[in-house]
Amino acid sequence: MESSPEKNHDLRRVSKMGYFRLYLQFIKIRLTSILSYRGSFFAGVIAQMLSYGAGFFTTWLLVTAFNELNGWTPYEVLLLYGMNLLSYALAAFFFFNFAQDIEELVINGRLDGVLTKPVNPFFYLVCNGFNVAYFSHVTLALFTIIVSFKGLGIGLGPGMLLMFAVSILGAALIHAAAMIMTSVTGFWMLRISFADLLYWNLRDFINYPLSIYNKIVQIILTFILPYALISFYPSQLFLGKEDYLFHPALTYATFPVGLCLFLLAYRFWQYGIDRYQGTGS
Amino acid sequence: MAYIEVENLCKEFKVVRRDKGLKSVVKSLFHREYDTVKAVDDISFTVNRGELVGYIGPNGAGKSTTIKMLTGILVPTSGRITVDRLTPHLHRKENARRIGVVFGQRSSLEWDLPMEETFDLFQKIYRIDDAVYKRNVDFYVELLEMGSFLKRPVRQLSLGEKMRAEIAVALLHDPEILFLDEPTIGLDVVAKGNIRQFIKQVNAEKKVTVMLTTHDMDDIEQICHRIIMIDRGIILYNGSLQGFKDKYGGEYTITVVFADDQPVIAVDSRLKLILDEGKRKIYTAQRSVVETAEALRYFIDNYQVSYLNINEAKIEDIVANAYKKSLMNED
Repeated sequence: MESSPEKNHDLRRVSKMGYFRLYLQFIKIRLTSILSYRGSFFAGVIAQMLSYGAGFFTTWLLVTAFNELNGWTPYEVLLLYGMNLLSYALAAFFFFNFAQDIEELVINGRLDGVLTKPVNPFFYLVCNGFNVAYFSHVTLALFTIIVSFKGLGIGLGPGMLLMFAVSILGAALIHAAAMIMTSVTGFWMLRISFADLLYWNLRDFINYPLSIYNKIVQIILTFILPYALISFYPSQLFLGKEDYLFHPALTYATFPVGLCLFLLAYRFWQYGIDRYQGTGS
Repeated sequence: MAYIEVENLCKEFKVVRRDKGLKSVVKSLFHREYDTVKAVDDISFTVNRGELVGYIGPNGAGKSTTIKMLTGILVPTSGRITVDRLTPHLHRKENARRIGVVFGQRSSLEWDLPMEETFDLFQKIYRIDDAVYKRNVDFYVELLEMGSFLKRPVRQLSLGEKMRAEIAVALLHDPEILFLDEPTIGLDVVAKGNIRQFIKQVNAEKKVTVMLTTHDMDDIEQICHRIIMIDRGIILYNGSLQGFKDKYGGEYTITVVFADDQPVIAVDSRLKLILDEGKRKIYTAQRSVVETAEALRYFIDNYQVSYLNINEAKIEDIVANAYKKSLMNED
């Protein structure tokens, strides 16, 4: 007796709820594996803290040495650093391993294993790649942001707090889109370190106000690779600054642009895996 | 309608042509030339529900490419595949629900996770009903004797234990068909025996259709109902094991020790001398040309013989012979 394909079609499809449960399961797994490698986990946290702490201090030293950068005070520049790091860490929780691992998954064949499972490979690999280590970044970033607001004597009301959360979310989507896009070349094992380099270096560019760079850099970082939307533009909403460069609306653009870029990156990733299924590498 | 139907299936890969030398490297940066390699070249076959089919062929023959198309990983260049009436790459997820896949050379298990929790994870991935899940875990843990290593992380398991774990996980969601890509690779004799026994049992008791690729001819001899041999993307043989032996394994050897150093002059031309150590000589012959009984009688009737022995070709040699034949036909 053969069962009809139509009947099987509806059988226990993995729903959105299913992915959420799968996600929780993977988080549980990652946490358990931290317990079995406690030493290396804490060593990693300390190393990350030191490395980003150093970034924090160089920024601080540089800015205090100049006293101000193009009208930006040290505490204001610190907010740029904090917003950049917080949104980066939020994206990296989900997408750092995901982006780094694609090429290896292609080479060792585990991607084939994923494709034989009844799941969307994108969501599955995002679940699988969850990286707990970014709690240290989040902690440091929140600390920096609080220090900055306290130093400036700014208190955010509920509305502004919500706007801050939305901006950070949008910024995280921009980081995520960049991580996903640079990873797609991994499908055909040509992972271009140039793309990586571009992303990692640009990430540090925006720790300083965009207005200190020349016009070309400003245009690139606003319209072509819109990293300035991560912290430079949205921060001015909370700092009450008017260093708009192009248009005041840019201060609100972070979330919509982030969402669009993320969806674009997702489509690009789908294109990558389609090509993988067509060519085998 | 057969469970798996493959019709005129082709898969081509484009490979960048690389010439030696710096100049061509620089040239290839700007202008690339591609060679088209036909990994699978117009193959057709069917597999019925409940069959246990061995899919064999030398390295690079196109076995894995075929399996990857059957499991929905790769999209065919042309041709048609249906697995239970679904086209795998178009209905990848639906197809994935009803197939189990084990790639012998790579793991689908989480390195740090003990099997107990791996089962849990796969229950979530395949959304297996609690009752079915519990029944299957109990069944496979007992049948595969996994009780002793359920709580150890996968990275600490032996190769044999790991393979048992892989197969159990692949069967957890009650698939209708199991694809095994070299399931016994690297295992010791006892472990191989256990895996074979288990595959046979699952096929018989759970009516799971099995398609396996292997280089170990004992796998074929001991468990497969049928073999399909592929080389350079073309199917060379599709049929029973006995038929395969008859087609490619007609050659046998005769070892003769003659009573004295007499010159053996008029040996039958159908017998070919391949080793001459004076009194002891070895001949080969084709069964289609001269039957073993006739060959034996020839020596006994014509010479003073003190020892005679006939060796039939082993399945490994038959396969090697078949691969060689296909190579010669090509050139």
